[in-house]
Parts: sequence; C-alpha cells; structure tokens
Amino acid sequence: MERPPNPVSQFAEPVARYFSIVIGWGILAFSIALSFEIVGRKLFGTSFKGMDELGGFILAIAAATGASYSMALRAHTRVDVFLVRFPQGLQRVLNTLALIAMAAFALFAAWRGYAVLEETLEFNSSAPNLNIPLAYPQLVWLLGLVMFAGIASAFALHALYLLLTGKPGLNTHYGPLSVDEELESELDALKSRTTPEATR
Amino acid sequence: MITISATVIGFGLLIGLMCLGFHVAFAMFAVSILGAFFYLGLPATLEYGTQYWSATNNSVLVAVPLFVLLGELLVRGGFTDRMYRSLADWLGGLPGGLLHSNLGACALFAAVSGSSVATAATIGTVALPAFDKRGYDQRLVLGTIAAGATLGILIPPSINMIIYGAMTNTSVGRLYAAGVVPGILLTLLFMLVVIVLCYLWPALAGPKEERKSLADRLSRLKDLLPPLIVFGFVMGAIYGGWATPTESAALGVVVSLVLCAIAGRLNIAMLHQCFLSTLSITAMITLITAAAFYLNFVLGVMGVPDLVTKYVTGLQLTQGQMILILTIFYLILGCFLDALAMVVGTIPIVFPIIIALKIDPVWFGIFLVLMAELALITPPVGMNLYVVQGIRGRGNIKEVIVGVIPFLFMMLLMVLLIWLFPAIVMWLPTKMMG
Repeated sequence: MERPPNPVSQFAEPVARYFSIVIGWGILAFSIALSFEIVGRKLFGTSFKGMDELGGFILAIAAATGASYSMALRAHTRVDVFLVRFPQGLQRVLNTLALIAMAAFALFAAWRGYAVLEETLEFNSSAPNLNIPLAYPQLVWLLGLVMFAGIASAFALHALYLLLTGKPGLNTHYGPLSVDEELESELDALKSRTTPEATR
Repeated sequence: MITISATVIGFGLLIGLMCLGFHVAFAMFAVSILGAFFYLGLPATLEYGTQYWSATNNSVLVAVPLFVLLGELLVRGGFTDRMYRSLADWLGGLPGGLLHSNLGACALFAAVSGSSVATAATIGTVALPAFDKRGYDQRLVLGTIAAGATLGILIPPSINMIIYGAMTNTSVGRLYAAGVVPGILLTLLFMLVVIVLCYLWPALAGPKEERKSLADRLSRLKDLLPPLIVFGFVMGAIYGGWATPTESAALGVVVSLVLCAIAGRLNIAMLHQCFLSTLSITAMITLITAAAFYLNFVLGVMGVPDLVTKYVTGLQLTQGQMILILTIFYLILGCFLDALAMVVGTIPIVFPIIIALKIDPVWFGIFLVLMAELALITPPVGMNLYVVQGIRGRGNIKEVIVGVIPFLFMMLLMVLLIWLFPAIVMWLPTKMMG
C-alpha cells in the first residue's frame, strides 16, 4: 500500500530495529545455551543454576527493547472497531490523545525503571546464581525503556503538531494499524518463503 | 475502602478507554495507577517500576518469545506447504474432502505454534490457493481455516496458557497436558460438522478428487515429520521430566533451527526476520501482560479479590451457574476485545471467584482458552476473521463470518462437554503428573 512515510518512524524504526536484532541473537544464544544445559544436566549430572535468572533478564530486556520497536511499527494492540466509525475530526483528537497517553505511560515506566536501577546501585544488589551485579541487566532494560519513551514522545509531539496545525495525515500516520497493513507485513513474510522449491 | 460499585466503575473505565482507541496496555496501566493513587497513596503508585521489572524478569514468561521464535522458524523454513499437501493425501477422501485438510493442518500447526493468529495466517496462505476452481463453498472453506486456526492456543504449546499460568501460579506443564484431549476432541468435532454438512448438502464440497497412488502418498508422509518431531521434542522433554516448559521451548527452537538448516533454508536475513517478528510480538504481549500484573498487584493490595469473592459467595451461586454466567460474560466481552486483553484483563477479578467456588484452576485455564478461541472468531472484533479475509483479498468478510457459525456451535458444545465431563480436561494431566 502506497502511503507517505511517517517522518518520525523513518528515523526511529531503524534504531529500534537494530537493537531488536541484537536482542534476537541474544534470545537464540540463550536457547542454545539452555538446550546444552538440559542435555548436560541429564547426561552428565552437571547443572548451571543461573539459567532461570538469565532467562528472566532476557525477557525483561526483550520486552523493553521490543516495546520500542513495536511502537515504531505502531503494532501495540488497540481496539479499532469503534474508533474507525467516528468522524475524522474526532478520530484525529482521539489518536492524538492515545499517543500522548502512551508517551506518558512510557515516560513514567522509564522514570520508575530508573528508580529501580538507582535502588539496585544503592544496595549493590547482585543476581545470586549468576553472580553478576543486577545493575548490568537493569541498565540494558532501562535503555530499552528510554528508547520506548523517546519514540512514544516523538510520536505524541508529532501527532499534537499535526492536530494543532490542522495538517493532514494524522489518522493515517497514527490511527490503529489497519488489518490490511498488519497483514501486509505478515504476508510479506510468508511470500518470502514460498519459493518454487517449496511447492515442487 | 473500595466498594463493589467502585470496582464496576473501574472495570467500565478499562473497557471504555479500550473502546475509545487507547492502547490496551495503557488502559490497564491507567486503571491500575488511578486505583493505586486514590486507594493506596503515592508510594504504591511509585512502586510501578519494581512491579514492571519483576513482571517481565520472569523465567516462566520467557517461554513466550521462545515459542514465537520456534513458530517463526518453522513458517519461514517452508515446512507448512508440504505438510498441507501430505495431509490432503490422507484426509481428502472424507465427505468434505480438502476441508478436512484445512482442519488437520491447523491442528498440526497448532502443535508447534502457540498462537491462533499465526496459525490462521500460515494455514490460510497455504490452503486458500488449493481451493481455486475446485468448486467448494467459499464460506465453508474460510470457516474451516478461521475456526480451525483457533486451535493454536488450545493445543500445546500455547502462549495464552503460559500467561495464564504465570499470572495465577498454575503449572504450565499441567495446562499443556490438559489442552491435548480437548484439542483433539474439538478438531474431531469440527471435522464431524463438516462431514454432516457435506453429507446433507453435497454441493458444499467440490467434486471428489482422484486419489493419489498409495506409493505416492506414503512417500510424502515424511512431510508431516518436521512438525511432529518438534512437537515430540517439546512435549517429550516436559513429560519425560527432562525440562520445564521454558526449557523445552528452548529445545524446540534448537530443533527447528536444525530442521531449517537441513532444509537449506537457514540464512542470516531469514534469522533477522524471525528475530524482528519475535521481538515485536513478544513486546505486544508483554506490555499488556506486565500492565495486567500490576493491575493484579494493585487490586490485590486494595482487597478487591476478597471483596468480589465475598460478594459472589453472598449470591450463593453454584459452580454451574457461575460458569454459565462467565460463558455469557466472555462471549459478549469477546465480541469487542482482543482475546489476550480479555484474558489478562479479567483474571485479577475472576480468578479469586474461581478459587472461592473450588473450581480447579487447570480446568478453568482450559475453559478460559476456549472462551479466548471464541473471541477470535466472534464479530466485530475477531482477529482470525480478518486475517483469513485479508489473505483471501476478495469478496466480503460476511462470508467468513457465516462460515464460522457451525464451528462456533461446536466450540460452545465443547464448553458444555468439559463442564459435564471434566475428565476430558483433567484425565491427561492427572495421568502424567499425578
């Protein structure tokens, strides 16, 4: 579908994507390590206690970093069934409000996330089994939250600017992702694997 | 002290914000932060960071990205097309022909995927082209895929079960075992309704296909192996006592990786695509789930579960009456809410009632998943309907909606069956895990 690109996501999406791919490798590496741990435990009776902790850290970091990537893609879940039936003008207001709310949410999460890190540093807490300072994973987690807050705030400001200046494009840039758009990305992914070899 | 009417207003605010198009995660966050601020004061409100960290720093929930990644690898590895073709070889002879392949493929893919939407997208893309110019009734074709795909969250692995397990401290391993028999039974009920419809109105199905030779069919049977191998490893590791559900998910990722490599499909670009989908889907799920954990925490401290439980106990409802009320409640809610939002948004209030009425949490988990399945195909907000319609790319969504109606009834029948015969749910987990 042809649409004018959103100037904010053009900048934000590649940054969030880059970080997400790095975390993706982390998830894969964790899977491989965990599989070795299972086999090692079963066959040689060795056991590495830190895996649970590591998994928790991976999820927290993936969730925070992914939140910024999903934000850049506008993929966070919204109920659009009523919204799309409202008049365009009201939709512009509601879309702006939704983004301001999301930015406030993300900023609050980043602020409180910082408080968590501060407390960890104050008490010098560490992960009991992995034996590393808890501040390390929390710092990366916080980085994801800050990126999420940054992207959400930029979107909110852009939407507010479009609303106040009456410029067009607010609903296409910041409305809920329509099912067509969602499918577009889903189908692109599926097409990429359907080569003649698969159907032979 | 919080009252029932304040609780109802809070719940109304939650639904209202969602319906005005606010992000689902924000709606949950807003309601819990308001509740915390007004009833518990500033310290509990500022507690959000710690709650958020501990909700996502969770070794049970880490199974979510792992199972998403596993499914992504298998889809992008191209195993689904051949799996569908081989199923068609064997199921095409039943009245209703290829329609059964849709259901079989959905059930089989559900056994490696924890998501119904992913199942609908995958099987829809593979199956729909097969029906071109074959003379099947379009509505039934679409209905089998949209409804069949809901099996994705009932047949293990299931992302919804992981989240339910993490939120209610219910064993995910037990939930998985509990989903197997209802999953198979529901698949058979779906097939049965197709057989009956096509027997009564033969025009619904296309003309009978010429059967492939037995040798051909046998030689293609190996195409069913990849999903079965992954399923075998994942479930075998859990029930052999080797691994927790999270660990078995990691094992499944590695096995899928090896299968992709053997098929010659593994490369960096493909992996990066898998990573991005995984991160995005995981983030969408965890943002909502983490907000729901905080809601759970706030409501807990506020004493809402006790209050609601006392209120409901005062009504002197039996288990059966409660389940009937919840069925209707979830059916209505499911028409308007996203399935996951519906599940995590209601657990904090509904789960304490379930415990008070001595309903088994594992049984209730399966009930909730069935209601979430219904939510996926009830208009106007039924994600699977839109996914299937989007893949088809022509005609009207009404045809998909009409197509799922017979299957909606089968799902309600399934709810009735697990109520009348709880052993359908409880037999396997009790047998396997005591």
